[in-house]
This record gives sequence, structure tokens and C-alpha cells, in this order.
Amino acid sequence: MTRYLVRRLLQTIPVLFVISIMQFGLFISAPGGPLKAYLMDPNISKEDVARLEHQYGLDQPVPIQYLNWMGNILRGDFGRSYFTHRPVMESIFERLPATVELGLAATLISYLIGIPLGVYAGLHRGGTIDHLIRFFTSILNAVPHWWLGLIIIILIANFKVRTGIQILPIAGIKTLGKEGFDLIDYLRHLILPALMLGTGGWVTFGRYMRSETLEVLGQDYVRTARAKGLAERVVTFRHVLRNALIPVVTISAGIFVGLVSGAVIYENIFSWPGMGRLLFDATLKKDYPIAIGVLFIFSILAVLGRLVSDITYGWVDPRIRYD
Amino acid sequence: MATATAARTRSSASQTLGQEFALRGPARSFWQDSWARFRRDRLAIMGGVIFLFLCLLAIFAPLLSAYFTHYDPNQINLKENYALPSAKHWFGTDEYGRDSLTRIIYAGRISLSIGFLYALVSLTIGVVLGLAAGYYGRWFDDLLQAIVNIFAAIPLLPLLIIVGSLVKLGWVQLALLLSAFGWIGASRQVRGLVLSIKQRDYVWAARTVGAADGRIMFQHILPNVFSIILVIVGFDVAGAILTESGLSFLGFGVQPPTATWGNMLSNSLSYTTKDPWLVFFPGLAISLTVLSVFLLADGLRDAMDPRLRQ
Amino acid sequence: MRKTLTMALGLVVILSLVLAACGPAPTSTPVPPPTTVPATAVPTKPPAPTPTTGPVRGGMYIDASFADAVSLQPLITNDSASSNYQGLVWAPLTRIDPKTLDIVGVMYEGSPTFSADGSKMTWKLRQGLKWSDGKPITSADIVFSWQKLIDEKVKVLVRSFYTNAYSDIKAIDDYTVEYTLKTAGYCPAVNNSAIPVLPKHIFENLDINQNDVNMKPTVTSGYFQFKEWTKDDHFTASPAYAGFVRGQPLLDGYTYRIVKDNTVQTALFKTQEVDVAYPDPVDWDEMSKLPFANPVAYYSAVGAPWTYIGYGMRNPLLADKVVRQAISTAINKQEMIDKIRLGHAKPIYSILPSSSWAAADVKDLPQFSFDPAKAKKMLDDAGYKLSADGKRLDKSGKPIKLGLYFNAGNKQREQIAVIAQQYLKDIGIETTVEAVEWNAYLDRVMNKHDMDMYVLGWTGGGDPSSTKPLWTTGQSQNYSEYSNAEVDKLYVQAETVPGCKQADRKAVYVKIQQLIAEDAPYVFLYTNENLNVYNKRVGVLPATGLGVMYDLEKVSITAQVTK
Repeated sequence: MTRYLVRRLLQTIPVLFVISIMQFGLFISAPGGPLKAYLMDPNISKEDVARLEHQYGLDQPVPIQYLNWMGNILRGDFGRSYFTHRPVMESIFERLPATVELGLAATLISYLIGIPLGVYAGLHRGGTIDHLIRFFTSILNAVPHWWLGLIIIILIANFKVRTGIQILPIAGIKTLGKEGFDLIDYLRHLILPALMLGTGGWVTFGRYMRSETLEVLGQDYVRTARAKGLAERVVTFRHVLRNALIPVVTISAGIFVGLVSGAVIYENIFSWPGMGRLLFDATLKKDYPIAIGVLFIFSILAVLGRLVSDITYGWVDPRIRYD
Repeated sequence: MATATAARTRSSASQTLGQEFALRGPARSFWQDSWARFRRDRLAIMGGVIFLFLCLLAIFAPLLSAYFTHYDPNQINLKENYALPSAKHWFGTDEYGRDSLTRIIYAGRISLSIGFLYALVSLTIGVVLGLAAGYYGRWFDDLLQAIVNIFAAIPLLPLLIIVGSLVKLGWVQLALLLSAFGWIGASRQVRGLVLSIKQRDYVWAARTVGAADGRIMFQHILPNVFSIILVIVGFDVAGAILTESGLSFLGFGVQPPTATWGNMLSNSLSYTTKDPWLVFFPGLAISLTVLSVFLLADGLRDAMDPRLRQ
Repeated sequence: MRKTLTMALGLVVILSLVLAACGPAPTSTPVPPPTTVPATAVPTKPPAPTPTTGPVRGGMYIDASFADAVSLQPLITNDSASSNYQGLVWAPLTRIDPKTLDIVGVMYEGSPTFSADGSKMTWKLRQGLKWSDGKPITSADIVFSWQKLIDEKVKVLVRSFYTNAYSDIKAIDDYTVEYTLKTAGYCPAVNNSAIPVLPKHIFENLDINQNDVNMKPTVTSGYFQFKEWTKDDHFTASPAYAGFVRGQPLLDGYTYRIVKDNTVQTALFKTQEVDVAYPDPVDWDEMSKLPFANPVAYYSAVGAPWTYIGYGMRNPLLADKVVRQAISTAINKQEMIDKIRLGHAKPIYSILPSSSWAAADVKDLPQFSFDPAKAKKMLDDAGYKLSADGKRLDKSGKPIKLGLYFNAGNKQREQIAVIAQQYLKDIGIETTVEAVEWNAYLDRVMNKHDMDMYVLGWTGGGDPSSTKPLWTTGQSQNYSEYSNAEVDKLYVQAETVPGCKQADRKAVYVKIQQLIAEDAPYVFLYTNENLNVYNKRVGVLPATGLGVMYDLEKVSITAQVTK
């Protein structure tokens, strides 16, 4: 098992470096740069920009910049932001918790809604509820979620104008002016973005649970249990659920990782101060070190997620062995 | 509904009696069986019909704009901007006075093209690789796994943002870029299917008799793979359209004045109070397309799911 | 069938959700707005005990910002978010007087004096000013800041703005500062004298480029002291600084909330989670009518953004002045203003927006008023005839095709391009409209010069001399490659008018504007009106060309709204 892990890690870390380097190549070969936008500022002259580009080494030929940067990366130095001059990893770790928390909350919501719905739909396949669930989950997945998020924000705001009641906060991570950390306040701010982010997740879980439930229902031991005369409820919980849940564990990590990288959109819409926004801003400003640093962290999360996925799969399913 | 429950009880009863074959009726091929089940699924049929209709609209866009709506999608008419839906403009007009209905139809061309191109390319790559890895196994499979690990480690949306900010993304480039990652899912599913088919008796028998690899793949494996391909195409097309709309919202994606449903939708957000119809129609177009495709693909999958064959 | 019914129900639910979300707020019907805070029992604190005729102290003002700042270190930043935050915590040396638009001292006193030969400018620093830790603010701080500004090792963004005006700053005594001008009698030197002032005793041993104080300055001089900064979420400056040079502000603090999306900012204003919104013209009516909204519209006297269509004059067709003038005549500026800005803009005819003190009267400028018939005649007379099928031909008989570009994502510029395309089509010129990614756009405008026509904008600077690098031959911001020897001479003349009186300098700038307008190197389009809505609880100041928050220390919150 450990050998497998080590092998996987050895495979992926160099790959991550290679990806980062490719990204950097993309960045510096595109026209412009972090400082070019200042040329439209009436107070900043071409000479100012040229001077700064020289100070940052941005006027050197592309291959030289590439090599310099690659050398630093291989030593683990991701450099500093071109704008704040703070170390890249420091800026990223400031925002990492917010994104991870959002991802976790969304995954949790996916479980809480998706699993019961899916199991129910599987148990009552063909019934009205099954069709309703299929229909509504299809609709929810058919509408672009970012759009749905914005519509909800507009709805809440209009509702407050009409009635003075604000159902939920629509931006930020906490209410301004409150000192210290207030769990309830934090959760209220977390709900909407997590719900929107989790929507895709619970639909996937729901479908998965439904098909797993159906598969389990067809198995011999379920028929045996029914033949023995066990109550339907016992059959459901003891046999169906337990077995259907097994694969859920394995796809969870994948879902979590997908949600984390998809968080970018919701962090923008709900003004959630996470890594996704950092990436977005850095990309627009051409702050390469930060953009690539964030991409790298996302990639590490993805790799970790898949590793966890594979490990738990082997752990819950004794038929799998690692060589 | 009623028929399905009846079938279930009937089969469990009959199986315990060991007389299922007698009760079932004449044997049917896989395709006949699937089609029969599909026909009964009303939601899926409806989805299929709607999706077909939308595709036809997109294909015949120039004809429609010339003979049906009589508007050019790029013709501006400032005096009639923000018009509400009326007999003259069924869907109203946008901020330039361009006819919304015509624009939606033309935008559909691009959005659906993105979806289909994406599905085509990612499926081609995914199926070929998945087939080969599943069938040949060993080092080829390991290689595929390694490649998949690499690509899966790259977060899609952040990467799209970075590339979109550096390179101008026309609809073709966007579809190709998305398929560079989309093939992973297809290859995984195909590989899994191939692995399970490989174990089956008739394949084993064919090999024993000495049938060539290619023949085996074509005759036995491909038809089964084909069934999941249909399903994957559906989800791919829908997924690409949704991703494109998300990218347009963030500002990367196909740029105006070329219209896609995604950029029409995100563009309309500035006008939610002034003219909510501008928000409604692109949203409806996307939702209807994705919904119909989902229902269709869901229905296809259910129809062809071997576990549900009674 | 049951299924069809449930489906229909589902569709109806969704439809009504969407329409409800987008429906107009009820305030579009003339219902008298409630005079008190809305009906949910939101307790209003009784106003803080004040003397009978005193101003109300206290309250936190919440502003919305589209971007987060980079740093609070003024030497290494110039983005607007950073400048906004810095403006709260660092006191400036001078400011623009809202009424006269002259430069007056803030930490400096009054106006500067000049040496007889005009080569030295002397400012007096107010006595008794203190940093927030109690140490006095003296000329040593100013000289220290100057030395860091010109220090080659410091990654200073805005340097030539100052170093073009003067070559040295030195302290004559603790409260007297002498600037040595590069050009004697250089009028804009007064405008450029306000260098950022850092506390010497804090920064002298730090690396200006990277240190912790840049993000968390504890010793400051501005309206408010630094309190907290949660990146990408909010920035708060509080409490008010009692020793602020213009007097302790009435407000307790000022917060910037960072909200990227305009839709969300609007929503936050509606939920009263921010005190101000900057609506687009399409939302202006709805926002102004909200019961708690105080709408403020004005044309900015400094920093007014104006839009234009520039030319790539390497295209020989566009190097022909008549063609450019004809294009200007073919474009209906007023219709653009009505349709794009819904009337909230003013046409501009030359290089300075009308709110600038040096702006020429419209009647003194060539206007190229909208007249498509005249434009067609101008082209016909100049040898650009119309072909049989209505296409305008160049002098060699080929149909004219031009590229018309705008930067991707900018809605206003997209609209200008699409509408201009129609006007040009009406006089027979065919164009293709294309969006270009911002950095590539800049590259093509500044270096490649390969876009036939491109939509862009400038923001008016404080002093008209800031337009010199745009229009003088070979200068750093002259992206149109415009060259007019007369204009070059006049610019130098305007900067060195003896006595530097606004009226005298204006006369020269008017001539410059006339010459450039006649040459039509741009299609000058319009200046945007600033549209702001404030929550009524904010006691804003009477409107001037600088808005309603210019004397920030006098802004108050008149009613506390607690959540």
C-alpha cells in the first residue's frame, strides 16, 4: 500500500512542476505583462514602466526569464507577487481556508441532499416521486448555476426592498462591524454559496445513489432478506443502504476536488474571499507568480483528492489489492 | 409506473418459480429491447423531440432569418431598442434594436456547434484510448492511467480562465480546449466497459477459436460501447454549453458581437430591470436544450442498462 | 398524464421565479416613500447626545469597491483601489479646492511662493501637525519621502510625474520646503508638488518594496487610522484621527467592501449593506427611486472619463484629414449618448472635458455636427466616390473596408463600436467589429499601431498639462503618432506662462484644443456623467465638481441603522 502511494506521489509531483512551467511559458509569451496596463494611467509614463520592467527582469528575453523562473520553482521558491511584493505562498495560504471550507460545506450539502434523494428514487423507481425528482434535478442542472446564484441575490435584494426582511446575507464572509468570530454569522454567509456550489454535486450524488440502489436491489441477498420476511425498512437500511453507500465514499474525494476548482465562479458572485478569486484577479492583472501558485495548489488538492479516493476504495472493497 | 412495478413483482415471483423464460415472450435483440423500453419513457421521448427541434432550428438558421423572421441578427435599429415581445418581434429586441429571436437562433448554432464539436473530439480520443487500454491492457493501460492522472490533476476552470485571458477564444478553440480534458471521463467509462466485456464468455470463446483482435473489438465490444457513447454525447453537449456560459460570465469565451447563448445570457444581466426578457430567452434556450438532452440521455441510459432488463 | 402535469407545474414555478426576480421594484409606481426606516422592527439608536447646534458624530460609512487594493504603500502603487484606501490613512500635502479648482495646501499652508527667476518653489508646512503616534510631522518626513521616491532601488510606479517637474526637494527648516524646478516658471509644478509623505521614523530602516507596515500601517496621518484589512472582503479605517490636519472627522470610520460584480453591488445597496452605489445608466431610474436613496449626478471636474475612437493613421486612407473629418461628421454623438448612456453624458469636441478649467467653449471649437449628407459630400469631393452598389471606394477604386475594435468585456465600448459601424455603413464605409483582449489591445494601440479604428478612453487628469505627452510629437503617450509643430510650441508655452494664472494658461490651451479638434485625430465622443446613489442616512455635502464627499471630515451619518 505504501509503495503504491509513494509511486503515485512520485509520478505526480514532477508532473505538477511541468504544468506550472508550461503555464508560465504561456504567460510570458502572450503580449503585455503586469505593468503594461499602467501605460494608460496619465500619471505614469513609458519611462516609468520601462524602468520597472527592468527592475523586475521583465525586459529580458523570454527563454532567460523562463529559466530563471524554473530554477526558482525547482527550489520551491514561488516568488513574489508583482504587485504586492509579498511571497506568493503567503498570499495563497491566507485565502486557502476560505475556499476549502466552501468546498467542504458544498460537499456536505451534496451528501445531505443527494444521498437520501437518490436512495428514495431508487427504491421507488418509476413512481411519481422518482419522476419528479428526475425532473427537478434535471431542471436544476439545466440552468447555469452561476445565473441561478445571481437571480437569487437579486430576489433577496428586491424582497428586502419590498418587505424589509433580508432572508440571507448575499456577500462576504461575515457581517461588517462584528468583532471576532461568530459561528452563526459565518454559517449564514456560507449557506448560499455552498448551496449553489453544491447543486451540481448533489445531482451527481443523487443519480449515483439511484443507480447504485437499483443495482443493490437486484442482488441476491436483498431477495433473500425479503424472502426471510424482514420488514421493508430493515431491508432498506441494513442491506440496501449500507452496500449502496460504499462507492459513494470513493467518488466523494473527486467531487470535493471538482467543487473546489469550480468555486471560482461562486467566489466571484458571492464575494467569498477565497483562492479562486485570487487566481481570477491575478490572471487579469497578469500577476503570473500568484496565478501559477494558485494553479499549483489546486493541482495538489486534485492529486490528494484522487489519492484519498483510491485509498478509500481499496479500504472499503476488500476485492481490490494494491501491488 | 404501473407496468414497471408489475414487471418487478412478476419477475421475482417467476424467478423463484424458475419459469421466467416461459413468461417472458419471444427473445429480442439488445437494440430492439432498448428501443422498446425507450419508447415507453415519455420524458425521454419529449426530451428527444425538443432537442431535435432545437438542432433543426440551428441548422436552418439562415433560411429562418431570411424567410421566417425577416431579420438579420446583426442589423441594429436604435429606435426600436429594448422592445418588448410583440407581433413584430416575437422575442423583443435587445439594446441595439436587434431582433432577439433571430439572434437566439443564430446563437444556438454556435452554442450547439461548441457542444457537438466538443463531444466529437473528446469522444474520439476517449473511446480510442479507452478501447485500446481496456483491450490490450498492460503497459498501454498503465500509460493511459499516467496520462489521465496528469490531466486530472489540472483544475479545469482555473486553467480555462488563464488560457482565456491570454488567447482569444473563438468557438472552435474553446471546444477543442474543453475536449482536451473531456476525453478523460469517456475513456474511463469505455475502459471499464471493455474490461467487463472482455471477461464475458462469448469474447473468451471467440479468442479461443482464434478470431483476430480487431474483429473481436469490432463485432463484440464496439456495439456495446456504442450504447454508452450515445449517452456520453448527450451529457457532453449539455456540459459544454453550460461551461461556455460560465466562461462568458467571467468574461472569457466567445466575444460579442458574435452571439452565443452563454454570452447573451451574461450580457443581459446588466439589463435585468430595464428589460428582463433579454435575460429570459437565452436562459430558456440554454435550459431547454440542456434539459431535453439530459432527459434524452437519461432515458437512453435507462433503456440500455442491462441491469434493468427483465 | 400525471407526469405532464407535474412538468407543466414545474415550468410555471420556474417561469414565475424568473419573472419575479426581474420584475421592477414597486417604487416605480408613485407611492409616497416611507419617511422612517422600513417596517421590520429595526431599532434606531437615538442620535448621540450632541450640543443643540453641533454636528452628529459617529457612524461607519460603507463604500463599495470593485477591486481590492494592492498595498497601502503609496510609492509603489497607483491603482485606484490602492489610492482610495491610501487616501483614508495618509494626509495629502495639497488638494484641489472644490469651488475654484485651484491647488491649495492641506498639510502645506496656503499657496507656494516662487523665487524671482521662477526656478524655486517654496511651500510652508503647517506647524503642530502630528503623526498618529504623537511624533511631529516635519519637513524631514517630506525630504525622506522624496529621497525614497527617487531611489533607484525602490520600485516606484509614479516617478516621472514628479521628476519631470522638479529635480530636487530640500528642507530649508523644519517647516519650510524648497522645490527646485527643472524648468523655471513651470506652471504645473504646483499641481505636482504633493508627493506622498511617509513617516520617516517608521520607514527609514525598512525596505520600502516589501515590509509588513505596507499592509498594516499603524502610524498614519490621514482621516482615519488603519483598523483591519481582510483581503478581498473588506478594508476598514477606524477610528477617526483626532489630529487630522483638517480637524477630526465626524465619522467613526470608513469601510470599503469589495464586491466584484455590479449586479451584486446594486443588490447590496438595496439591502442597505453598503451606503453608496454606482449604478449604470440603465439602473439609474430604479435606484434613484428607492425610498432610502439620495441620487447624486455630476460631471467630475478632475478625472472625468471620456471616450473616443482613435485611428491607426499608418493606414494612408486614415492619414487623410478629410476622411477623418467626414467620419466625425457621420457619427451621431447625441444618439449614442441617448442610447448608450441614456442621456447621462455630454458630447466632447476636443481633448479636454468641459468640466476642466481649461476647457474651451463649445462654440469656439469645430464640432463636426452630425450630418450624413454632408459627410458623403465631403468624401465625394475628396475623391472617394460611391460605387454602383453603395460601397465607398478609395482613390484606387477598391471598396473601403476598415477594422473597428474595442476591448473585450467593455460593454460601453462594444456598444459604441456596433453603433458606429451602422453610421459608417450609412455613408458607404464597410467595417468589421471585433473584440480584442485587453493586453493585446494595448499592445496594438501603443506598439503595433495596426488597428484602423479603435474605441478607447482617457481619464482627465488634474492639470491640462497632463495631456502634453499625448499630443506632442514623439512623446510617451502619443499613441496616435500625431504631430503638429504649432501644437508642440503651444504646449511648452502653456506650461511657462508668466504668473501661471489659470486665465492666461487657459487662453493657450484653448488654441491647442482648436488646432487638435480641426485635425480630428480622434472621433471625440462624450464625457460620462458620474452617477452615484447614497443612502439617505449619510449626510453628504453640497455637490460640486468633486462630488459630495470631498471634505470627508465633514460627512456624517444622520441616523444609525443597526442590523
